[in-house]
Amino acid sequence: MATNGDSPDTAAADTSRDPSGFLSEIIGAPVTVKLNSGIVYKGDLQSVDGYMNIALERCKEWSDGKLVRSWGDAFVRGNNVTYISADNA
Amino acid sequence: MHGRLAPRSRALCRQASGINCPPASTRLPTRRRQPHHGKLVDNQEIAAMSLPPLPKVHHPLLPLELVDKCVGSQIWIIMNNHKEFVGKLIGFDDYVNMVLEDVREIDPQEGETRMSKILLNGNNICMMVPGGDGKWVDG
Repeated sequence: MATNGDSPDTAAADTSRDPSGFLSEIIGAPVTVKLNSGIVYKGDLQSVDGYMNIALERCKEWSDGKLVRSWGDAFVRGNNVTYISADNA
Repeated sequence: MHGRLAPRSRALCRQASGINCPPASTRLPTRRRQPHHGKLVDNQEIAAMSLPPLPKVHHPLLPLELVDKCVGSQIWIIMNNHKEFVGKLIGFDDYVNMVLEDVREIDPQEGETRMSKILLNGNNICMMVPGGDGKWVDG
């Protein structure tokens, strides 16, 4: 099991088929991150690690479909993340 | 005499349970007097006597093999907070984080949301139904 936060080793990284491939594909792109609480963060995906910790640029917080706040850069701790969705895939 | 036969009966048990054991010729001395019949038999006769054919051991489909079979097809994912996702499974990892395409997120409160491609955190996944379309199946 990975201890350094890297994704578990998936043999012969079939790019974009497995989660790590998908993530490397959408780095830099606009994404929607939904948390378990239902809060949505939209922004440009700066980086992700194996814990699904996420760094977002131009981050905007949405709740119940309404814009709540605008952050600049934001770090989202991975355990709260339900999904990461590519906005223009 | 019985004590000397014990290894063979153990071997038979092992064979019946599907565990491989060495061929009879390596387990028995060449000739031996059977206690009940009182006549000499050799290894081939013993081998032909009563060994049932080895049962066909086919291992069951492991859970993650089932998920792997679903790659490329439609699946229905039920989260442990009553939320559901329906979409095409593109890939997954050891944590069962899943990459899904053409996804419908079904929330009892918020209704349906559509997304083209997502990475779903495996932490809150409760159940996965291959081929499911988000509707209950009768029967």
